[in-house]
Amino acid sequence: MSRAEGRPNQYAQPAPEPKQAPALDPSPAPKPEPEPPTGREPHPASVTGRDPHPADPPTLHRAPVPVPVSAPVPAPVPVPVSAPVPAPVRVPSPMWTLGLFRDELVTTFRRWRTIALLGVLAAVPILIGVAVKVETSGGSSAGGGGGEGPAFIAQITNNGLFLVFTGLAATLPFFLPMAIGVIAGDAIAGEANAGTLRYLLVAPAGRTRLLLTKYATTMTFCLVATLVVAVSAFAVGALLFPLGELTTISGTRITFAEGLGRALLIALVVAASLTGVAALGLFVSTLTNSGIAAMATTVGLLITVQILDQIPQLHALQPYFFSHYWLSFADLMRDPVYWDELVRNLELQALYAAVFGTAAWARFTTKDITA
Amino acid sequence: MEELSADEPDPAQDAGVPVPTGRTGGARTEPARAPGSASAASAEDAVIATRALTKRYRGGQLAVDGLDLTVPAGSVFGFLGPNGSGKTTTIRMLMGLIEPTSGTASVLGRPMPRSARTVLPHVGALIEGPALYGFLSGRDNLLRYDAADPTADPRTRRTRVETALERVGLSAAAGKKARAYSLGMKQRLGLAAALLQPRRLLVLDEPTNGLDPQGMREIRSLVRELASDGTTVFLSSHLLDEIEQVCTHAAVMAQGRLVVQGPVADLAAGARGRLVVNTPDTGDAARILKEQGVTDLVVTDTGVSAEAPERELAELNTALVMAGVRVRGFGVERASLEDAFVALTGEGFDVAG
Repeated sequence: MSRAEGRPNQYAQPAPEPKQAPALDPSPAPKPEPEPPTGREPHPASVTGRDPHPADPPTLHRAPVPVPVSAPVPAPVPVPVSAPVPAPVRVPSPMWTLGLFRDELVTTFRRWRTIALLGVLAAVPILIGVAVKVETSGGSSAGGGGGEGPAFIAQITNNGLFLVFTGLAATLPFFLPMAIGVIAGDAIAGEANAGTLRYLLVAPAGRTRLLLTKYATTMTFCLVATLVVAVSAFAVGALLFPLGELTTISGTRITFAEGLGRALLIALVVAASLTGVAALGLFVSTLTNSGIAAMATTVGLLITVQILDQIPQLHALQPYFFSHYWLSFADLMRDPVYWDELVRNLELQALYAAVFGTAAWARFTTKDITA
Repeated sequence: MEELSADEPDPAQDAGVPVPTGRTGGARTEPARAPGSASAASAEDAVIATRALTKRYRGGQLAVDGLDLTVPAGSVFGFLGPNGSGKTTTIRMLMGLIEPTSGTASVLGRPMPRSARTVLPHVGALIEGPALYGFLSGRDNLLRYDAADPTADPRTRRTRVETALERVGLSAAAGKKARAYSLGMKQRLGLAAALLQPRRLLVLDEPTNGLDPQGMREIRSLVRELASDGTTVFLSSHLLDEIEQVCTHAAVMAQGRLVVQGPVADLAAGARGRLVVNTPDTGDAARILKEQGVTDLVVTDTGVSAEAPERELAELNTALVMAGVRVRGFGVERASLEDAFVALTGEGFDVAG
């Protein structure tokens, strides 16, 4: 394939001889490149620098020592031999399939958009911290004059660690799920919109594999986004307020180390709380070829559900809204921890992930890709 | 096809065989195998074969209607048709992107879309123009597409990407963000993506779209070169002369149906050439020719053209000259593929060049 012999050569500057390729290539990968220049029938595969193993399999494996004698010989394995294939066999390692996930992660987190979303999330605790600091600098306590605020806000002045809880409580209803909605909604629809979806699929990425990769990436983003809020809040809290032992909601005292542990646990629970939205967003993303439409729909659903969750008449339905138990993470700050709603929340998220994950899979694996 | 089932022997050899020895051994045997395999392939099934392939979109529109397409192994196959004739839908069905409504399609001997995961690693495709991640560099775009292929070895990924970039002449611009690329550069990058691995089949949908003449020539020679290495190339194009120059076989679609397919030479021969008489005395010439029984006369400023008659042309010329018609030129213009095309589809064609 990459043989260059008879080429009249319009490729003067570009790619004269593939042989050169490896030479020019900065990559450290050891290539079979010494051979091509010898002018023998270059195995196409070898020229393009593919892995030697898959390149010339059928022959080697049976002719280990009996040197070249076996050359024109039948072939070790009758079937593969007759294949007119340049690169007869590729022996994919099962691990290679993870390459797409790694690439997806790198691609996602390198995008300016992702960084901007994380930046906004990181800014929320900073704003809260600074606001509380300014408001209380006169000596009054935060809870006193301010009226209702996000959970734990009154405690921040006593212990900076509470800013982590406040920050998560402030971002969980909207900022975090909105960010997830953007990433999840754009996951498939954005690729379809750009046309890159068809090239991924003929690569072939595999529809199920691509969907799983997208979901795993979205979940990773959930975790990273939550941790960004938590770490930013912790840094600001430590900077502006004292740290130390803290009082739980139940009134007992726990050590700072245990408090830190609970903060981490809360961050994980918050991240897990977002799996439902992520699955929902991914499902919406498989329905359309417009990334913007998918993002808008997901965020719209998010807002709608939160509004419905406030309407008393819908009491019977509310336990099934994905956001209904979100703020239950505060129960981790009780002593002993009150698990009921936490567990119900996680069950609900798992249910959403299962239902919408399956729906997304059913839709995506049967969809005609026309974009 | 066979090589696909060849997967089993590999693990063994992948494990144990010393690489260098293996390479030489492989090299020796390769030529010996080649001929046999080629004949086997041609005797056997085609690289692409469809039977009554049909696609009806949800709106009820019949995009492809009972297509029986056969692409012989090793051919450069031109796929022609006016806009909206179902070419792209066909290509998408072949690539497993669209599920046929009925009928079957097989690529490399395997049914599609069911065997997409085993077949597609051997297929390079450029479908409806390139699609790139604008926020990634050209190189990163290729790395991503390569990572999407689970059979692509990550250890050789960078090397293969650089080689592909060089082949399409993009090495110098590889670090630029793809959104800054011109259409021609995007097209080249799309081609590079199709060339990341050695392929058995290349499906190129309008590969020269957006390229300058120099770029078109490069693509043509690239296609020839790939074909000479045994890769089957399935090429859809609007440029008929391009098809004529590059392709060994062609098929013509119109309104979702296959009008004709076969070797290019046969197709062009199917349309008869035209007799062209270059003369200032157009009126007389037309009259004489008509008297001689020539049909389909068209008088132009510079002469007369007509359907080439089956009889001895020299007699016609004699008749013209005897009648005092001053003949500057006399001859039959060979039918081009375009003539054949228009004759077949019975309509105009968007000829871009």
